[in-house]
Amino acid sequence: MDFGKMTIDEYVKGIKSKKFATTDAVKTFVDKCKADKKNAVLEVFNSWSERAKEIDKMIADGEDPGELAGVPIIIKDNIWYKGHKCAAGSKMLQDFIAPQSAYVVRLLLKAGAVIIARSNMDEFGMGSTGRNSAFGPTLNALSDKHVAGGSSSGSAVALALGYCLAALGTDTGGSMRCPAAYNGIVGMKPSYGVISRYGVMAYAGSIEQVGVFGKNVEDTLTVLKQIRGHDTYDMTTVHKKLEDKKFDIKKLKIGRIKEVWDGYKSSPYFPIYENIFTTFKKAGAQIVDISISNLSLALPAYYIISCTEAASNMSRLDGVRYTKAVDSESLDELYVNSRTKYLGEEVKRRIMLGNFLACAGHESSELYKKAKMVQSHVAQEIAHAFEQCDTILMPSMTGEATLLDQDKSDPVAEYLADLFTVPSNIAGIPTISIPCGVGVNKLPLGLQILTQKYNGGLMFDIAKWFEKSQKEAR
Amino acid sequence: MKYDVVIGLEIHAELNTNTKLFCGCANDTNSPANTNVCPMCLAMPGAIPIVNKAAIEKIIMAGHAFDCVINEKVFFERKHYFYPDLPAGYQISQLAMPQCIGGHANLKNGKRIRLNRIHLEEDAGKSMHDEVNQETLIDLNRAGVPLIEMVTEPDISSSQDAMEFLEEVRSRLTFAGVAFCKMEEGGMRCDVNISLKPSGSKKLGNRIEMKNLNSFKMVGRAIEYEIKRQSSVLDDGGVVSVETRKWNDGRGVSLPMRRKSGEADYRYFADPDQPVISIPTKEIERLKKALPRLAHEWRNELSKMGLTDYDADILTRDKVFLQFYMENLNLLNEPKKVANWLITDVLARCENFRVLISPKQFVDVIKLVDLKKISKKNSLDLIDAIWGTDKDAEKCANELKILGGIGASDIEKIVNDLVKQNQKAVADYTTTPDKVVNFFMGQVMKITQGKADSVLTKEIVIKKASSTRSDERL
Repeated sequence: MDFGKMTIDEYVKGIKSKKFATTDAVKTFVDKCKADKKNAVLEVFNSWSERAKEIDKMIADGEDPGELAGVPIIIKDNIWYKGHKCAAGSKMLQDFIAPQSAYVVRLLLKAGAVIIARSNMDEFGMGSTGRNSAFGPTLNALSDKHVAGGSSSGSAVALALGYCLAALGTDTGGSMRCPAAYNGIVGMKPSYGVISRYGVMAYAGSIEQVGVFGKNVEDTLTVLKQIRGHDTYDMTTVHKKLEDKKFDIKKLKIGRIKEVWDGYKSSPYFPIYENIFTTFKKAGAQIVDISISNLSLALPAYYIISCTEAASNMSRLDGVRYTKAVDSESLDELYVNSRTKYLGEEVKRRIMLGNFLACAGHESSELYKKAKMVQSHVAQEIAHAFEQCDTILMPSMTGEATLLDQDKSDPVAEYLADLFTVPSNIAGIPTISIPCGVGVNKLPLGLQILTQKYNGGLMFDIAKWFEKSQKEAR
Repeated sequence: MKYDVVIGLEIHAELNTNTKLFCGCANDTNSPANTNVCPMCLAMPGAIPIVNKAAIEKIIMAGHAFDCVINEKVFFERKHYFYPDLPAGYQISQLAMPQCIGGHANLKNGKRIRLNRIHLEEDAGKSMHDEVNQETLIDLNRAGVPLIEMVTEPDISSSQDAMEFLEEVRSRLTFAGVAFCKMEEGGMRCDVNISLKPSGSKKLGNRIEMKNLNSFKMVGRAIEYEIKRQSSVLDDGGVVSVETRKWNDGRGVSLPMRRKSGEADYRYFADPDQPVISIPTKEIERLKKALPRLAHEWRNELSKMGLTDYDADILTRDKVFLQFYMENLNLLNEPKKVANWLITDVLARCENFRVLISPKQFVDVIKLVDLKKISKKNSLDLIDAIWGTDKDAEKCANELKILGGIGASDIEKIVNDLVKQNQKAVADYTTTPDKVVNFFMGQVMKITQGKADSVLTKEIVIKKASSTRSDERL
């Protein structure tokens, strides 16, 4: 039996009906993790077998382990699982043990899931290639020459290769959707405030959310349902139910952003996305051309906000507590030496940028505040756009996965890769990336489906419809 | 040359909440080191703050106690600096929107000292430097304790005024029930900004900031010293350098603190982990009504009870001391007498206004003296003997062999003898009780040469005469 090919629904039914035991089923996933050649998995948690036995015992005792009974899940290396290592892809935290479980992990366990491993990532979530990990780059699931995308690189690749049935990551500027697109899987970020960030190592808390990777839309939704909801330990979470309205493709109004589309016409991938619009149109959906005039400000605003917050969040990594003390003559030297030794290049770059931006007494000192104002302006403009349409469709990334050995000397070029993903973080809206074909290098492409804030239910309906239409087309 | 002295104070006070400002750890800095800590106050990557409602309520109460304008929004920012006892590398504080704005308190001479603001922030931990082993140890029990910072306008012009104002602040905060203000334990701290300007001049002179002031008296001494120092610099035609100075109380001098080049830049920006909270106007009004009676209001009350201004002033110096006074009145409703005893005889024995005997013990001593069972002079020895114990005052007086005069037991013995010798007189009690009582009282006075207490004697005689009569009936 290839458990990796099952949907979560099929798998859970199998577990609950005692068709197969959790220990046996999960072992096949663990074996795959152990044979990982993509550097997607940082550590297989040995606790998996005890946990799997627990689930089997519950089943034997006639208890219901929950909606995710026995489901093997991999978590990104920045999410706390009590008693297990959690390093955020950084040497600085290579010996850090999670003191508690993140709220999302507690919810997964409550639903009966088995957390089997932690996955590789761009250090502290800073990157969109998966190359910025202190533990080496993650390779693309389909090509050893190409990047996995980031920052949730390992979770995406692990899921794509069937190491687990679902994986968690985080998305600050596209860190779910980029690797989902590059590895041909489904990846989503919810509306800001829908999932607790307690126990998730922050890169930029004001725009960051936990997200779910799945083989298909239904699996992704099944897991999301278990981990969303208000948490008294995260003041930024909200009480919002996932709405479930009747979906009718014929009544759907799809927004096509002029500013995105005009610029994308010269891209070799343009026809693929044109076809997608045609598919929707043929099914009866209406295409509406919309304009979000300040969309181009989203990316610079994002980098100002995320770097400022990142620099601040990284301040706690001062060499006093999380590493072996580096020999130093003075306190200042201790800070400099430890941070120099234990933090990666990209992290240092963003700390420098963030601290510069937050410094008083120069022209850019008010930039964080201004970027926050731009954020709310763009968010309003996007909200306004949703008065004309129900959803916005656009490419997840500008193209296919880039080459692993591509020159690293131009960080700004890399930053530009987040062009299409960042607006959703800036606006705090839900977005899913779903595979939509392959590009010139035969590597996967992703389609983003954006909906209004707290309207994730509709987003999933559209994604399911699109997924189905693609299957039928094949 | 004559100079005007311009002083402003920055006062920090720890709020007396049960738990810390952003986590559930006990607000108790006296526990063994590093026992009241959790992932949040240790600033582990992944922990996020949840604000303590009681702390918000208490700073609002503090604001009401000084007639501040209360900000209806709660907005926190991060203030960044590196120090080993600041685990996050930033302190969550309020810069742009302090919780309380303006406000004032008047000195006894009627002079108004204006406040600029009161804001809420978290305290840092404590560093302890071991000079012998050249080690620094850190205790993070204090990290995250809620702290209010009060900043005055430069309205203070002498050391006396500064000390009186500090006394007033301590009084208001303790009477409002929001802080314990134990300066000796670091629960209240004060930095002084001081400058001189030629008498009558409008232009402010260069100011210095004085730190390391651990008592009100030290504040007074440091100001006196600084006035002399700055005067002599100015008299010699020099310029006072703008700097931070540290008070050395042992040597009675202030010395410039070593400084790094350039101004400190705290890189303030909004805390991304917390939303801005709105407090309903009603709630702010409710807290205003809930504000306990402050010292100056108590002084009016005490005057109405017939106490002098002097008595009222001393009794309201400390909230717990005042509570002790009021409790005594329940046992002995003679305000002036109790106040005299408390102020002249008890206060001298108190450290920080803490009375170490119970109201019952105290009132018993007063009564023993009133009954002339002990002399006034011996009563002071008795207070010393029961101080800090729960010993019964009369028993203790007996042990000390200072119990003299004619006590209740002596009178009883005399009356018993008299009753036996005067059976006929007792028999007349039914018909002519007054006559009989007067007879026995006269006899007791004769025997004791008038030393027996007449009220007590009458009580005993009546009790004995009436019970004897009952005995005979039986």
